[in-house]
Amino acid sequence: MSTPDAGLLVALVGNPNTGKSTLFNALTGLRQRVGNYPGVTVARKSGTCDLGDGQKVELVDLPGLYSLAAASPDEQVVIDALSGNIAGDRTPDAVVLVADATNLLRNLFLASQVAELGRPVVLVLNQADVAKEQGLRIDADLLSRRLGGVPVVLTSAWKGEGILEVRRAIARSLAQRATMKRVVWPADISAALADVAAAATADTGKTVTAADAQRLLFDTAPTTADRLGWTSAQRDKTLRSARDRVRNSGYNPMAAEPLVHYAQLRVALEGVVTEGSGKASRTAAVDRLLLHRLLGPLLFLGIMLGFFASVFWLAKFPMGWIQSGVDWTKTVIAPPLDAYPMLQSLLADGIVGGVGAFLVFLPQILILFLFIGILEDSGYMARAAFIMDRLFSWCGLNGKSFVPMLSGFACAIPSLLSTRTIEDPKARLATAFVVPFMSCSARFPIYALMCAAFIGPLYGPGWESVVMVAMHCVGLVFAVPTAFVLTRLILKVKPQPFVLELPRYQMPKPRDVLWRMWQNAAEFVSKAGTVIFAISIIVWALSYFPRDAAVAERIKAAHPTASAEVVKAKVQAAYIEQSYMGRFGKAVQPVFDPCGFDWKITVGVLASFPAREVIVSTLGVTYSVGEGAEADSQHLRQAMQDAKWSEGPRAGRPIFSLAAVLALMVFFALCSQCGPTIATLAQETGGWKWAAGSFLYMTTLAWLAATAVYQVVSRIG
Amino acid sequence: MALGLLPGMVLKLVRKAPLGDPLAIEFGGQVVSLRLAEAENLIVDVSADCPIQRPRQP
Repeated sequence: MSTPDAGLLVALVGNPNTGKSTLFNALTGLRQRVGNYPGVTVARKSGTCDLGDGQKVELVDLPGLYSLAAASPDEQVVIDALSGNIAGDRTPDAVVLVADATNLLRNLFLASQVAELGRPVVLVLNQADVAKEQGLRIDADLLSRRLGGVPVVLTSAWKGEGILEVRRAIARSLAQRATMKRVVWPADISAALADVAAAATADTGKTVTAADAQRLLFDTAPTTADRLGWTSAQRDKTLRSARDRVRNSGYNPMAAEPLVHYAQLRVALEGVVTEGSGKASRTAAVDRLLLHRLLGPLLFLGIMLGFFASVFWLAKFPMGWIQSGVDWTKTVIAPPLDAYPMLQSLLADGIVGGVGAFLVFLPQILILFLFIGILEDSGYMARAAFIMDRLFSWCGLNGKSFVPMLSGFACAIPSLLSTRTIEDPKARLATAFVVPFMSCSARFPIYALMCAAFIGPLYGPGWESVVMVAMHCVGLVFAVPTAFVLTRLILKVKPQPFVLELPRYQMPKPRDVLWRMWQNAAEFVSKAGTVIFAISIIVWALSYFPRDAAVAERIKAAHPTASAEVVKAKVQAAYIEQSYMGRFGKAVQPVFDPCGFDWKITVGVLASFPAREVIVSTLGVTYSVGEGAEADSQHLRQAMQDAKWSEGPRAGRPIFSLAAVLALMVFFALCSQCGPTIATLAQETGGWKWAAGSFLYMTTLAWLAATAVYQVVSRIG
Repeated sequence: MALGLLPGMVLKLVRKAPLGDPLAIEFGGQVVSLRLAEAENLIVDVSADCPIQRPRQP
């Protein structure tokens, strides 16, 4: 990655749905870096942009937003980034404002607010092709003159038109430093702003810019005051009297800012846009179908089922290949190490096995991101939120919670990342908290094993599928009340306004969608992968050591006639039993006794905390059927069906009674047994507090539910 | 208001969501979803050819 020559920084700002990211990709040609802004979970996307004359600048793509009023973390980041208030980041040398050419007035409101920051500005009117189709003619030169001579460029980033002009305009802006014409405040508002600035400067001793004063006066959120450290009692008094002054001049202080901006922008736009005859928008026609009161929800269900099914079924093939690749790697690296059994076991079982179990889910994650990208870029995601909103609003979530919750049935990790589409931070937190309850695909193997081994043979295949479906619903049943309690009682979310633009439908640009899928997946693998790697080694070590050779000798001596295969399996089981993990399992077993788990299941449960799918292979080891046990393994089923309690009040009775089988499945449905999920949750909620809370809550809930199931079913059954 | 919903604007109720809430409202060349709770804050004059609305502030 080449460093930009002069170290110049240019920021890209605009409303959502203006094609800003497409323009960003076109300008940087995918030479991008993704990082995080300090302290918040807002991604900092930047890239190197060639200005056409060999000069290179760093271009940073700021989150899309409608207004600078700081309500969400995204908005705060944009304000801070533009004013140079982010630690370790420079103040942008120029700002590229991206506006939707078909809706100039609204888009220029943000531009006009940004102008108040006094940075050099380039105005890009994107989607000019759509404007032309609609019969809109835009006089860019006139607009440029009206806005104080800033460069105004018409582009169609999707088609790659006007990109070179944008590069040249940025170069011109950096050289000439033309700033956009600022709004003229009515005398009383101007005086109120001066009062606020003077009082804040006097109290804090810091420079208070005109833009700071506007945020202090017009915003209800105290973010700007907090940043300046203006917390004195004087603050409230000053703001109250300044707002009274605005009110007395005939403006509602909370509405004065947009009213003044919009009024002056209307004048500036006079004669700039002329409407001719154009094609009627296809969006309205498509919406008549997709948002139809009866057909809409049905089509929505169809799209979501297709989405869900493809995440499962399309991913099956590459998952199979990865699994074979992992198995093949094991067979390749194991034999040369026969002389070093410990190293062999560490590499094959610990590292390749552990990391492989995680890599297997990568195809699902890629497909999930691909679909989410298509849904977002096409404009359908907003419609899905519109259709679903009522179902979620009562428990404090909103329509945008739906997709993360649905995709949680495949894997919680990409779902947690997809909660980034939810702007309201509390709704986002609540959604992230309930996503791990969704029955992810890693729970499938244990359901499959239990149903095939016990439910099917005892009650027939009909009950098998009923139990299967029921298990997939258990998490959802607990998730909704959890969200309700969390948002209403703990986070105390006041009913949040949920205003959502339903943008024009658009064909997603393959490059943008694939690029974002790749970026998200790479971030996920690098972050979750390291955690998984570490945990795999720890679990391996706990179940490998101590490894006294006498144990193996004793088993061999006790079974002189048994085949080598059987002896090997028995040795494995004996080692597990006396390993730290086995000892710990026996010590902890009393805790799980009320759920009907014996020490072997307990070992499986404990070993599954880093990754729940480990349970099947661990049961395979503890019930001594050899390694590589699969859910359909006949041996494992037989061994489990034969397993009996050897001591205590239940001695002689089968361990896997109906009660214990159901309790075990319910436990796995609810328990927080996924290291990467916990790590991702911590990353996405900005700390370990919520991750730890989620772990304790889900695990406690799982134990209570499993105990309840076991106690009730064992009494009536 | 950042979306440009200003006093004196003409609103068009495009459609309702399947459960009656939220509403899709068109103004200034765009369609925006508003929950009933937010839409209640709008004062809408439905007189024949001069529809006027004024946002009431919370």
